[in-house]
Amino acid sequence: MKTMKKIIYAFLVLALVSCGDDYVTLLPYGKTIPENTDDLAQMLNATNDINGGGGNFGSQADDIVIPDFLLPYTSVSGMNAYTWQDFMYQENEQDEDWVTHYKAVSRANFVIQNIDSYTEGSLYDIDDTRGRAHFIRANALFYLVNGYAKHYDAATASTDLGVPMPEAMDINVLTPRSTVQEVYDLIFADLEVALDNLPDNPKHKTFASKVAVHALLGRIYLYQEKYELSAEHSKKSLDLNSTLKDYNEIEYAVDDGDDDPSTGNPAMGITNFDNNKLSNPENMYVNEKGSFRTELYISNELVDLFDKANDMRYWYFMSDEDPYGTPVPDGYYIVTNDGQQPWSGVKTPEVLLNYCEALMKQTSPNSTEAVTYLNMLREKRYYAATYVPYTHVDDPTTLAEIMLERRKELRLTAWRWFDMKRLGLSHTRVVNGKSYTIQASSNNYMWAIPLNVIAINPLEQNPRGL
Amino acid sequence: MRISVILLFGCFMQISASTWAQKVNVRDAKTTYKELFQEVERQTGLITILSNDEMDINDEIEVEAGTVELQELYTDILKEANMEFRMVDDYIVIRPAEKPVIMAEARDQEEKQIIIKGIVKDQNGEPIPFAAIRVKDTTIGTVSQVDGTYQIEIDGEANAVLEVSSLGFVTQEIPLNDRTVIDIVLVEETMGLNEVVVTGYQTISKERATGSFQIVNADDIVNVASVDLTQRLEGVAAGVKVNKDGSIVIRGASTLNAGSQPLIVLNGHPWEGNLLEINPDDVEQLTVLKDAASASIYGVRGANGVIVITTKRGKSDGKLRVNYNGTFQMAESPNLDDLNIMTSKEYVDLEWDAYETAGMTAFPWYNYKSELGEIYAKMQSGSISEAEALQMRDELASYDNRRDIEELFFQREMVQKHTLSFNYGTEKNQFYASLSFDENKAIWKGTKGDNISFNLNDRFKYNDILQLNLSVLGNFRKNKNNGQFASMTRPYVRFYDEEGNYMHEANGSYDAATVEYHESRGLLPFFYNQVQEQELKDKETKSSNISTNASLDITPTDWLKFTGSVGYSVSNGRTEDYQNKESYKVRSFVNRYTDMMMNQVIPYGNILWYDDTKSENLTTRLQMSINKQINEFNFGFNAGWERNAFKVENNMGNARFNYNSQRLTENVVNWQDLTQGYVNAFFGWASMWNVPRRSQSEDRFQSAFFLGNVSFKEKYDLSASWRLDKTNLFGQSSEYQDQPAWSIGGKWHVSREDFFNVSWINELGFKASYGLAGNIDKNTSPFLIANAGTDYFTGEQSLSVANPENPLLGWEQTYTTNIGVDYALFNNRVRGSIEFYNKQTKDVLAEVNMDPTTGFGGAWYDKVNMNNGEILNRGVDINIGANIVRNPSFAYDVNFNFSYNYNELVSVDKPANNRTDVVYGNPVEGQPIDFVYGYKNAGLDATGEPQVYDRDGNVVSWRDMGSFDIEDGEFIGRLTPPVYGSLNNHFTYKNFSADIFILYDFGHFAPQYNYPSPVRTAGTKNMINVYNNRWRQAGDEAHTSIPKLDYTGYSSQDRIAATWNSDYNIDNADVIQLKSINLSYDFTSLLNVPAIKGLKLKVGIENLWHWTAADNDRIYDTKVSWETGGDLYYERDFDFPRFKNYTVGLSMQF
Repeated sequence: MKTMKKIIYAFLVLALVSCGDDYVTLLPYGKTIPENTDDLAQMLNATNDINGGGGNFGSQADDIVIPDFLLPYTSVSGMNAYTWQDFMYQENEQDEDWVTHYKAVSRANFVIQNIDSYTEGSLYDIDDTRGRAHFIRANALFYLVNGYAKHYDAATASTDLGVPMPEAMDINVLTPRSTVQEVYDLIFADLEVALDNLPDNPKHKTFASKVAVHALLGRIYLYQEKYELSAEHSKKSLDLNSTLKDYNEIEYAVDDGDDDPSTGNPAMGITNFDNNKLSNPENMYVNEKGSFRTELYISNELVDLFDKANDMRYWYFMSDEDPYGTPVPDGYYIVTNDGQQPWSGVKTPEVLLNYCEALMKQTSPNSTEAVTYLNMLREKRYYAATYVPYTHVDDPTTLAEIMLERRKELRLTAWRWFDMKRLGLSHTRVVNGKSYTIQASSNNYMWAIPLNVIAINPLEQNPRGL
Repeated sequence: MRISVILLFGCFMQISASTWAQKVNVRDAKTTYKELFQEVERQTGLITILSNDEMDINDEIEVEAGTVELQELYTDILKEANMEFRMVDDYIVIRPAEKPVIMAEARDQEEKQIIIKGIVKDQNGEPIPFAAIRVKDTTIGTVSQVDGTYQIEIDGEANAVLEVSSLGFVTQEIPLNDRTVIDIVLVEETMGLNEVVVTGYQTISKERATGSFQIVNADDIVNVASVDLTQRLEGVAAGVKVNKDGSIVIRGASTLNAGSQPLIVLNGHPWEGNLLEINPDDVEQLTVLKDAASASIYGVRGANGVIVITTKRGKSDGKLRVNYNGTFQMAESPNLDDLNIMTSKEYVDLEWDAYETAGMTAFPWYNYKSELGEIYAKMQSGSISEAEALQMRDELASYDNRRDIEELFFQREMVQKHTLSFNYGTEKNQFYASLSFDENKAIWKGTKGDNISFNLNDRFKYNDILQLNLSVLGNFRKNKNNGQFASMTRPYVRFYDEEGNYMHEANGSYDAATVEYHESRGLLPFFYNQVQEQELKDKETKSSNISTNASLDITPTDWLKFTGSVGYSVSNGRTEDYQNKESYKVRSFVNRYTDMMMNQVIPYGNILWYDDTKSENLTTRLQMSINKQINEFNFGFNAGWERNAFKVENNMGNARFNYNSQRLTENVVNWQDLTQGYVNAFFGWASMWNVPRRSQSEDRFQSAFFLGNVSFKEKYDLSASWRLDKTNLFGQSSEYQDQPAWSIGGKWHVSREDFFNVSWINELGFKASYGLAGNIDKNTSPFLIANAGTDYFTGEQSLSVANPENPLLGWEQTYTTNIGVDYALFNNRVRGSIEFYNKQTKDVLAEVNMDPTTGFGGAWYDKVNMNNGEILNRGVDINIGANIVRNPSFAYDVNFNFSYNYNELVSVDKPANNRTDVVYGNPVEGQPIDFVYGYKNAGLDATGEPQVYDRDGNVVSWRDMGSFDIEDGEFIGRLTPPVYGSLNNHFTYKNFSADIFILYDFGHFAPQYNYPSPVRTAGTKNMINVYNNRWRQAGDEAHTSIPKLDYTGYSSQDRIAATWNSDYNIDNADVIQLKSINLSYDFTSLLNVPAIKGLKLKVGIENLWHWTAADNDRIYDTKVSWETGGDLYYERDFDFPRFKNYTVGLSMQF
């Protein structure tokens, strides 16, 4: 009996001793709990999380048309967007612009929260990571505050409702809306940190850099009508990188058999044009993952702005025939090649045009510099054999020319919609015989706070109505 | 001490047998009969039975110490007492040497003695020797002779009751009622006392178990014809629901997304494989553990219940048994008419209708194309006249491909299966081996599966102290599935032209004209023909699964046992999908990756895709068991420690390009080119190639456990269990790793109390248990967890957040209360149990839609796992087994299961917050988790658009449903039946037996049809023929509720909800199914060949008949579900009803 007792005790002791925890500390494969600054940098490398883009609202702008024959094939939310309804999405639908930008904000917040306490890694520069995180947050908040709040007005910004501004990644916290001013304050603070920490040019075009920070500052000051500051930052950005692609290098993939360089069907393809967002030399900060819009039609109003005989943007990026050579019904144009992918990032031509606009709108306009830069762009866009540089006539004409070039160059991007809002444009559409107009003063220039957000987080809704 | 006529020493569980040559080691020279018999039993497992009380077993005897032969020993010691003995199965029966009939002990008083005589027989009329016959509550008794006859002399009490018992038979009580000749028929015990509950950690007698469980014996599952184990589980146990997809739910779903499948334990160790891989012919016993007292010992994995399976073992009687089981099963041919789809004429009519209203010229170049659409487009462009178009249309309509589809793509389901098993054993070593082969053909032509499985079981008793158990089982599978890809197409599509050449089937945006155009531009043709595809591919899956268990029992003394065991299983699988270069899949891939200059990035040639999967499961366990009788207490105590690791490794998406399967040559591709995405003039952005990817996971559990039970006077049982699990799944902190599970239970055997004296109740026990088990979702963690990867855009290493930090996250906990009654009535003719349970699951883990402002949520793929609410399952499980007719030549047994389950989401922190969420089935407080929500139908308006009633009874068009709230619809009921069960009727007449198995489900609701959104499908697939009744012109609304065609590409969710979720489409889905009829005939006695010990022929029919309350006869077996998913609103392709199945089987014993 005594021996038995000993055996039993021995067994129990053995069992207790072998119950160490080592066995269950194995981390699941393929997954990791971030623990050093390299991990944080790698979180910012996830294009899907960080560079989700926006630009769905580009379809609200006056560049796009949905021909009547396509209306039956347009989603309910697409129709709502197209006719500037109070609510684009129903409660159960997601507002992708809100989702993707706040997704980026939350990842950036996690990095900003932890970068000082985590051990330093060896693969990625800690300052660069810090700078990237602050840029990502500023970039997203700028898009959000312009999309979902009143346009910046220095007089009322401190009372105008902005957007929520979470400063930490915490799923258990519901963040209220800050004021427009508060959002801009954080954007500027973030960009200051970004500027101190980022390199001149990025390693990849999805990474932030001083080029992108200055470009973003140039854009923000332009929107705030602080033109001197805008010009200053745009210039700094262009000094670091002002690469433009010469469209004269482009050719039609399929020879149409005649000698006229302006005719051909770009829907059948073009060559020498790199559509890849990372390798397109004009791209400075790519904020879009690859997605493709094939069913996009350009408004005749926009098409008619182009000099059809000489503007290569008209030659190569819009077509009145489909890839099979069949005419597009009702004389419409479809978008081909560039423009099929949504865009809300930073591109040299935009910075250049921001610069030109700011130069002409600042207290003492500088038309010489503006025309020089404008022609830098025009030279790459018009057919070389017949190219005539723009010459200054007077300030208003030059500004108008700049704004026209801007309209053509930033076609089909999210920035056209923000320009309409900023410049106070109105636009009218006729859909199935019914006319819809968005006025300069329309509340629906502010997007509705998504209903699926309000269902969980009771934010104050923007005033609605056209 | 007075001895009862029958004495059974020890417990009923340790039944084993031996041969006479067996040796016994006698230690003490001076002993008593009793001690000696006990010693013999301990050493040999043979139980000594006394047939009367003429001998006092406490008498001291003297024997020679040392090893002696059993026969010798018994002859020796019994000579003195003038007794003799005989071996009957595992018993040594002792009786007086001379007289065959034993008078009861002489009485002092001379009283009137009555002689009762008769014969004891079994149901087949065979005499039962050595049955014990005793006058109830006395010590008077006898044993029947070899020919079954008996004779007993008793006091002349009119109310005397005979108690007749024999091993393997139900004990019977027979009142004399002044009779003197009483023939007794004993019924074989199918749910007898000696059944044991095997939990994997302990083996306890059924009557002492305090928890809720149901035992299914080999016999019960053999009676069902179906060849797979899951099917055989259907309806055999109360509270167990086998769903159409083969998933099993025990006592209602208690979790939202952590998975509600029960844990399967095979021979003591968790089984991660599919139940289908276990050969039902090898199964000895299957125990369903339903409550905390039973299942908590499995800790975190036992929250959904546990199914314990033990495979067959050898017997220890020194006889070799060989069994053969053969089954051939054939189903009826698939019939497309069962799918309720349109005829060619009806479909052409619908499609033309769609074009006429929508306007075909408007169809953009990238839209869907169809043969009829092409005709319409030609008519529109003026290249053919309207008359020509109509003629071509009617020509299309004149052909209907449904019979050709049946012919070209389908075959009858067929299964044949052969199992050969051997079992042999001696006292020392018991062995069981089986080998099985099966071949099956699924409904798709070109599919064929082979499976070889084996099972080896060996128990080796080295000596009194050491025993080794080994089991190895496994299977090797090969499945060819060339055919399983055909998709439902338009009924007018022809596969062959008149010369027998393949014809193009318009597919996606490729009609004949566009195929021609692409070819002219230099691309490979987009020609598509499903029959040809079937011939150009070769798809095969091979897998091997091996599972081994070894355990060593060390028994230093009779009350203490240590067990060390190891279970290891490994399974390897490979899927190869070989596509000939001529196949559509290869051609379209190559085209997609062809650039503007017609350069092909993928070399044009055969492609072989292959996936490799591997999983391993290792369990090690050390356990100590103590079993001790102290006075009238019986103590059981088990403690142990266990580790379990489950590893999965998958290598998916491997591809070999321009592969020559004969020469094994291939071309190398640049993955980078394929992953960057590609811009092509025709297709825009080519989708990114799925590069080969590897996934790996390892789940580890470490657990300590303890089990204790105590029994007093065999009247009161108490049990308790406790287990602590640690796992790596929840991240690194011990705060989240530890989850205790525990239970307590008790049972009171009322019928054994002295005061209990109800003659018709043989057994009555009340039991109750309470306990906690946990559940985790392995995809979640309180810490931020990121998936590592290589960013497809930049090639940088990246981490994307899989799971945000959630410090509030915890385990899901299920508290179960079980109260039950076990009973046996009317001479054990009626047996069963009634149980009530209350299962409360707290902190239910659910995927919750967050405020997307947090960076999570907003989209279905972005949901966050959180503890979100509480689920209640409450219900009753009733099991009744009754022997209705008991007759030497005829018997009728019934087994009836009834389950009622009430399910409610008691609270939910983040409920569905709008009606669309509700339509999609997101959790709603106060509703069952599988609620059915719908709108009250208000018919169609004058333009054929659907309308519903709002909460105030106003008629509302679907267009105005935007203003609806959750309250405007109604909660109609549940999708799964709250009431379900089975009725199994078993008849035997002489050598013939029949089983009629009936399943029933009541009280649930289901949508009758999944309404597709027509225009996107018009021109692509055939559709359900309810659309023939669609609204076409004003006035139709008076007699139909099917709305007019929806021409929009994106049908509004409200329009779909107003149709699909309308109450006219939601029907009561009550169903009674005659699941199977099985007949068998035992030829053994007719054959009279000594070598053949058994020969049985079986015939069965499955899915013979059903009744349903619903209008749609198919409602009970279509895979209609409310889950949201890609094809939510589409009738799934080729969703056939369950086929009638015919089975012929032969089983032989040698």
